[in-house]
Amino acid sequence: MEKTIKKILVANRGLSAMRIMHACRDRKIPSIAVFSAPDRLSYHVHLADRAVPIGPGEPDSPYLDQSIIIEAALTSGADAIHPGWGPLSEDADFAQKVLDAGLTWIGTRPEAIRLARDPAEAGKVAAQVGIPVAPPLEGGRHVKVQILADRSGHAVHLFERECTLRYADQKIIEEAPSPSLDQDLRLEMCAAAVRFMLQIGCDSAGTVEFLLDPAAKKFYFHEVHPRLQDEHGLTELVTGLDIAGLMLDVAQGRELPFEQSEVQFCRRALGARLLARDPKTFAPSSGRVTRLTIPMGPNVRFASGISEGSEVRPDDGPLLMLLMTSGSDRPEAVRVMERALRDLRVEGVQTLAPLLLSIVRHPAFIRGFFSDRFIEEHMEELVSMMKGGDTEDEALKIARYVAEATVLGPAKWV
Amino acid sequence: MSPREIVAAVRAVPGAWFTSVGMRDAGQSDFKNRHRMYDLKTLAPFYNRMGLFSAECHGGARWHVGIMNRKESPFEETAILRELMPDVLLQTLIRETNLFGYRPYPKNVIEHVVARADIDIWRCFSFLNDIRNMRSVAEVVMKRGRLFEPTISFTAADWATNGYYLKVVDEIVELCAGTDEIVLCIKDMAGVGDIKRIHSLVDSIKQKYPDLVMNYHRHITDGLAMPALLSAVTAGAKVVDVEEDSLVRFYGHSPMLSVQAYFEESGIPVHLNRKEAENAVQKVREWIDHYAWAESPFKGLDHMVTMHRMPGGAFPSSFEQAQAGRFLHLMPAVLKVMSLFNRIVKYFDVTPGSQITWVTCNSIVNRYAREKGEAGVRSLIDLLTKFVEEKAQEFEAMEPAEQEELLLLFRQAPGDFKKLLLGSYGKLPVGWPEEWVYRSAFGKAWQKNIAERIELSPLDSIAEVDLDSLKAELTKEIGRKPTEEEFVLYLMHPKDTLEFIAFREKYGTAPLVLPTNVWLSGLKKPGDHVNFELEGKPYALELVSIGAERNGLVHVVMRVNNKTQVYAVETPEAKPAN
Repeated sequence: MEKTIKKILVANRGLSAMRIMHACRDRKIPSIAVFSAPDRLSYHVHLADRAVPIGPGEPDSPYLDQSIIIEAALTSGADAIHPGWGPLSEDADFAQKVLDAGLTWIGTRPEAIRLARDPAEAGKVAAQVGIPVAPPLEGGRHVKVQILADRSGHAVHLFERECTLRYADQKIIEEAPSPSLDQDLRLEMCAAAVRFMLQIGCDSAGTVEFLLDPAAKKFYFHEVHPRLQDEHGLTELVTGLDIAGLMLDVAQGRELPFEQSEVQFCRRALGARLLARDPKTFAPSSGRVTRLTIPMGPNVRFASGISEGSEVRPDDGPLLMLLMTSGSDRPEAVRVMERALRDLRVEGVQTLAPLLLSIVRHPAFIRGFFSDRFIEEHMEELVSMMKGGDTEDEALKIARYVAEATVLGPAKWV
Repeated sequence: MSPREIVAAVRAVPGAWFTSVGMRDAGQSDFKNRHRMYDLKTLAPFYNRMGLFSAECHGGARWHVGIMNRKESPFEETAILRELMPDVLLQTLIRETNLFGYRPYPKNVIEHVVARADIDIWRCFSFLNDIRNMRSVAEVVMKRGRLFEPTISFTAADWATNGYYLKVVDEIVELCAGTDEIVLCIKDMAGVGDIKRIHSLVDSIKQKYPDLVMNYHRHITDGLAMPALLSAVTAGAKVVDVEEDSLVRFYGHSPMLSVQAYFEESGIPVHLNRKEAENAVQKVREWIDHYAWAESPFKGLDHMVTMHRMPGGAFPSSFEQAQAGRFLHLMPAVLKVMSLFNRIVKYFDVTPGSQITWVTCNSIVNRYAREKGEAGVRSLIDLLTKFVEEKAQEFEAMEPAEQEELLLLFRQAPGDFKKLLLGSYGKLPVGWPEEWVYRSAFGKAWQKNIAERIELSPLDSIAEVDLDSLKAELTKEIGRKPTEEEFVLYLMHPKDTLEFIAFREKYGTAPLVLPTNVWLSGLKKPGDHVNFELEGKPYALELVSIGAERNGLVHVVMRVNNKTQVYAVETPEAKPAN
């Protein structure tokens, strides 16, 4: 049964809120932001059509206070809640409360979330649909299949993504499709993911994650996320489909407007995570973003939760921005990534950008011969590849000197 | 050209050649080494066509002051000049084992450093005329096919005879296996050689080594430099040191246009493109006013330099130190004591010797002034005058009380003076000082100290260092692998190099690209701007506004290529507030 959503409360901040608000704009549905006191001037508040304060923000984050969020939706006239990605998006109880309040829940229905997030139950479902559950696996690679489903019981896969580089428990670089699969194994894995999602009753976007044993060409069920994931943009780039927009459509009872056979991928995409970290030591970084130049040009997609002037606080999540690039093949996507990283300029907060630039310039990464421990194995080399910066950085350093000389006059060493 | 070809070519041209010290010694003698490459490089196109024998542009104290104050590396300077004046021989000044520093360095450091500077002519002097100390520099330079210019330090003294200098030249000729691949420099760093003395010295060397090409370097403080230059050339010297007339002050070198005119009037042709030299002289006028602050407040020539022998550069800076240390009124006494001291402990007043003399003598005079007042200072001078002039330094001829006083004279002398007595820098030119000097400096331990005196050159007495571990140390200090050039800087002046690297990481190439007025004091008022190029692209900085000070911070708004940028500048008041 179709129903029209009139106004969506986006129960999140940063990158996640930005993505949902963009989807709302695309569908011409007004969005409402929520914000804690310290986030008053945040980018997501600015981007929304309206914004609702939800509390002081200290010591606990009001963004995770379920009753405050639902209250905010009701008082602001929203008729639907989108949780973005994050804890609320996988919380079956919260989804149920949203429904109980008479609002539309934009996401997988609560019963399916409950099954998906219970490892024992999820394992049982995997077995029922014929997927072996992961044994302890050395050097296994994590491959995720993107699923989209509607309320009529129609589900399709949008192929897979792989996190190809991680470091210090953080995902650093992801790719779509996975460079570790051949076409037969890919189709087998994707079909298994669709079976799983149909079995639990998924009716929105979600991801089934497998552990791949590339040598044995075998895969195992690992876990399932019945929600949108931050790196979904890679799949959007390779398939040309708007996953976040389709989530809004299916939440309004519409059927998916295509069949599995119509889903194709004809491009390669690369995603780099711009974490607020010192690129050499990985120490967390915070501060005010004094300058932000966003890369442009062909085949670049940039997602940012910050803007010039934003304050990055130590307790914020580390993911500031996602830089995604695509190409007709992997080397082309890597080259575009290098170009985009060169153009990117973030000042005031340290990001991984210099490290990422070293990675995409490293011959082993370009050739595709590397393990997921690549960064650990090559850290010293990657650090030594970091350049001192370009003429733009240089000009800013010189400007700093001039500013200081202007205020302080001749230095003692003059 | 090979050194042999250069030497032959210089010999073949009749008349005299010029070495311009406009890019090094001129700045060192009168402007505290503050002339920036930004300005000096404007002279390079003229130098390239001027027909100079060489351009001294590297070494001496310019090296250290570059790292410490101007924040420009000697490697950058050489690269800039190499590009802008490819036809000019670039010349350095190096202090044998003391390299571009103030104390002897280990042999492997010397070899490492000398092998890495892109310099054509290596003028190498010893403040002791201890030619043994030049061996490593000579070997590396000659092996690289660069021109070695061994230098004799010159002073006028009863012991500094032609016979003495000829022995030094013999040692040099032996070290360099003849006279065909070297130029010999006579370094008259205080400028005390008179017309007759210089003629006689050059002539006697010429008699013994007719093919030896000689270069006379003479400071102008006594006011009699140009006749001395002519005298040297008349006697057979081939090259003299000059600088742009517009750079000439009181402690540097003779004006190039004047010297050219004077030589030619006297019948000696000069290998110089006069027009280009005039252009260079004029060019200096475009920027020299930016350095007025660096000039000594103590202006004027001083013929008394022939007595105290404090060399160009050291002389004005000693007055400034005296002013800062509030003992300006004692300067006549200090200079007088120096003129007596240099007859007791005999060496040449050039770096690091000149610093040792200065520190030793001014500390003695200051101690007397502190303990015994002005009368005490007068009695000190009387004592030394009596000892040196009346008693011909015969210690036993002094009264017992006077002997006692002399035996305490050097007790509190600085460490470098004591090291000099112990042979750390090499052997003194005419032997070790008398026993009483050791008794005075070391007290009871004097005999032990004499017994341990080092007779070897520092090249043979100083242990080599582990370069790899020093490089690891630097890597750790700066958190990344240093460049080869940074490592050389670190070997010379470790502490200043760390500050230099930190400065450049923070402010980039500001020292190289900013005009001197902006380098010194920034932009004055909103709307003022400065343009520069980075890698061939234009950049513009414009001052938009300067905020009021609050909590020790001033916010400066600038436009960097039209994009607004705000800089928070910490003021000196920021610290106490924290």
